Amino acid sequence: MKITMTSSQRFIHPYLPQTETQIETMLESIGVSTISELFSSIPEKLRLTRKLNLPPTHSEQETLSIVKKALRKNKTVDEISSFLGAGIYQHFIPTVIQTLLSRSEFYTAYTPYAPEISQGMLQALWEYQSLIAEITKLDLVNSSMYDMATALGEAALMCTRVTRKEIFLVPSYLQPEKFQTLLTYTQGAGISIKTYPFDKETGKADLYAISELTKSHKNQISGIYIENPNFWGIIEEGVQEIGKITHDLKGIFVIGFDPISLGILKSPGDYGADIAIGEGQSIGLPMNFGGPLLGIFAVKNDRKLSRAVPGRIIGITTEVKSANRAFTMTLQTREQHIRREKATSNICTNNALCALASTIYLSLLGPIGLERLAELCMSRTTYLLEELHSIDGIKSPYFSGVPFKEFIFQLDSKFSSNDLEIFLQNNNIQGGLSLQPYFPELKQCFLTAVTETTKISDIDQFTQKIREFILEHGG
Amino acid sequence: MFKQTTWEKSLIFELSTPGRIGYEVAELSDKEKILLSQSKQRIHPDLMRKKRLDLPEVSELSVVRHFTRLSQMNYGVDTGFYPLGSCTMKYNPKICDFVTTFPEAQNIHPYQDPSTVQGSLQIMFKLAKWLAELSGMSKVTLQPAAGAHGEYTGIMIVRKYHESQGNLEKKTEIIIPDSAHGTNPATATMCGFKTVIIPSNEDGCVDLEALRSAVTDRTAGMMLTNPNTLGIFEQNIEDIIKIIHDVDGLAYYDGANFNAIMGKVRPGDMGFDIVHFNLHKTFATPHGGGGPGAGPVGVITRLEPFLPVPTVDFDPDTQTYFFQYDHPFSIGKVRSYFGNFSIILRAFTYILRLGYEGLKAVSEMAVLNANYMKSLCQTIKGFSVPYGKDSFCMHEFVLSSKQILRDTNISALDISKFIIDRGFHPPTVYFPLIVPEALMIEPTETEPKKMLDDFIQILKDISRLVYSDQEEERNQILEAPCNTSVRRIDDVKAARNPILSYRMLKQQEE
Repeated sequence: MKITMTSSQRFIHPYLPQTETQIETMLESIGVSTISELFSSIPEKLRLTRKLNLPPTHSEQETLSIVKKALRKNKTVDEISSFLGAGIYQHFIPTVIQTLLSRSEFYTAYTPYAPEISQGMLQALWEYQSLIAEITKLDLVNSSMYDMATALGEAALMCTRVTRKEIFLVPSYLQPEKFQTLLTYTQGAGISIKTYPFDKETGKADLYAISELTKSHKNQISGIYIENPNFWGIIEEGVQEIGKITHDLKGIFVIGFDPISLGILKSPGDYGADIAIGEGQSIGLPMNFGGPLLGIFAVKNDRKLSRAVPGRIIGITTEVKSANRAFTMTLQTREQHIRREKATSNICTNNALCALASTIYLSLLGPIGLERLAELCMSRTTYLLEELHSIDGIKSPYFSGVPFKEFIFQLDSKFSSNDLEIFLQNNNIQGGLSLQPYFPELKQCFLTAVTETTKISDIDQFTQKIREFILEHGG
Repeated sequence: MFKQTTWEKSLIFELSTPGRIGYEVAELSDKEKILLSQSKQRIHPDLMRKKRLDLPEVSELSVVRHFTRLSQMNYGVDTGFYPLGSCTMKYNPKICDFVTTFPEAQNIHPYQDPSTVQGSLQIMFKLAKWLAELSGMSKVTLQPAAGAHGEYTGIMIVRKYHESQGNLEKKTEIIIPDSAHGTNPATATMCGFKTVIIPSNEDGCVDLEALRSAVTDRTAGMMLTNPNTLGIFEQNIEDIIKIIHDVDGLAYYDGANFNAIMGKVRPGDMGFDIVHFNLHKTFATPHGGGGPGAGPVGVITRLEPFLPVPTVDFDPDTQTYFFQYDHPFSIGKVRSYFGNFSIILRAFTYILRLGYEGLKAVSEMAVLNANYMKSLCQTIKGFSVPYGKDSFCMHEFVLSSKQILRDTNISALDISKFIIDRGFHPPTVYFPLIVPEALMIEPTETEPKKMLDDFIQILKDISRLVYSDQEEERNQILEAPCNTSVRRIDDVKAARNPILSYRMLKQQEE
């Protein structure tokens, strides 16, 4: 058979190993003479005949230099003194994590569908579930979701699935991204999201408003969600009471938590959570411009709840013919590949490698490390809050509730918060998230975060610059 | 000979010795201690932790060794051939991982001022453009975190579209072929639609008559992969889409199999309205042992107003990139922030590295490898290709071992376990559901011929062993795997008595 070569049969690239002779042998074995014949099932009029407007092939060296050139336009938080938080935080990542995550046996694997050959990832994910179970004091943890926002969406869906009721109560003061994701996620199931306000003085949940809301929607509430610490950074002291209100209604109590705060605060499971969700970015993941993140999803071990959990779950078992330990994906009859349209969620690919990072992080820190980290965050936050408090023209803290690792300060109306932002930026400081665009009642307010990576000297410089700004503007 | 490393399965908790640390967090200064106690005093003691958490206490080396050992009991593409059908387990170029470790990629907060993230925005803008061009769509969002999340985004756009037409009450059904991934019907349900399953015809493709009778005024849209999950190109695609469009339904392209068609044909030209991509399949980003991936979604011009916010745009006047929130009928957000940037960056790097010619060659080689394997595998005694036997497949094909089951009572699962023993990851088994004893094989473009030949040889060996009249030869298959860190696993026990965390394990032991 005569072989005619098309141009792309000669395309040589390190990722494409077949040589010309091999291609010929293979075509012969198939019984065709060109590769294009293999595409003959595509109707001719649909076949592309023109060249697409895509970049040309680049060598590795060229590719690297293009990527580097683009990335160089970014300014990292190493170059800026950043007090940004509001959901994503700059924490130190021990070098061990990157080293272990680079084991390509982990990261080039697929979901462990063939358990015998994938015990390493399965055990690591089981240990992830176990570590999260320890910090939340809830026994059942799935092996990850995309982020905390989608975990909240899934939690709301699960509440309705279990209770068959359709109102889900959340704080009006959620991170805007999370609130919008929740609204999208709950549309399909026809769930109605109702919000409760915060106390204008303390910044904590308005318990009276919650109990009024629950009275007017008595038999319709599927669950109540509260974050602790909340979006303002404040520790919610009414959580136990809200848990009781929820359970009196036979609703599901959902807690949003910051994993690091659990070094010093009680665990969600200790105060009645049925579901606890969290953002795992702070425990071992870079900020990565907002992704990938790690949605933590933990549930009380209760038969009714466990059958309704979304996502993958790893179990410990044995070999068939021995008592040797083995790990496998389990309770799969909830999942899309088996239950299809009746599945508890459509999630398939999740964030397993991010879960592995957090597993290593929590293993490294241990109980003492996590406690000390929480203490460091809290004490330095208090330091910044008090330093700002001493400045005329700044109301710090804006709310009287006790903050964990972020809080709100307000600039006096004599000054322009826009000017302040520009002034700080010119001095290479990102002073926090301006809240007014999202919450108009919080005029001139900034949500500012402090972690163990924030040095005391950064804080001093930040407050010094604010003082200068106020002086310059006639304060 | 393949022999997976086997270590004792000690749990990280069992390595714990009180007082050890794996990483030291700085101690609080005296001043910090005072500040802390001031704050703590103001919190109700009921809310404070009384007893330290029961986390393991291990040294840094213990942690490193523990997870290194676990990695040795795991199998990735870097370990060997991974022909897991529908998952496109191709080689993940190292340059793509390398660039994600730059501080300019990692140490960026999503709420930084746009002027300080122009590099990231440029990368996102360009990748979205390239994906649009490859698929024939007009605009792409990079927000979705995974393939199923892309499906979710796409079907929410379908929902919002019908809502904007005032038709949501009426448009309640999504049509899905019986060969589809489970994520398709699960997605339809999450978006509030009823799933209508249509049977495949004898060629494994959409049965046009069945489709016509399933389509009604209630049809909101259809989800389809093309090539489908059997690796067969739906030749009647234009008719299929016309049937859907005739009732004002939208056609959704599930991009799980996009690796077969790059530079060859575009979903947009086929008539599709919405497309998702799996960056962790087609664009070579590693799957991470289960994720993270990324599932960008492209739409035609008419559907741009429905995209999730924000998208990334470029202002030619100021030569700057910015977040575009102006999508008047936006479905909202499907997650926090803008997408899985480190995955997006990998795909960007991959496309640069291959370029247009390279991507086209990728699809050609993927299809060549699959057809080569199919042509040889289907002649092995006991194996058959129930759909598309006499035609060409695209990037994958589905083998059936039903004859072997009938003749020898040895199942596709048994076969897959024996494949493991020879040092390969097994193909996808029992999917798609319409093929009995299915073994779905996707070699991808990055595997050399020798690897494909070695795999074919294993299937030949299997055929010989299963039909052997010597019991010990048959037992080699039934007892597999024995070269892995564990032998066959008791899944029934795992489900009947779920032990899902160390807490539960301890409770059981007590």
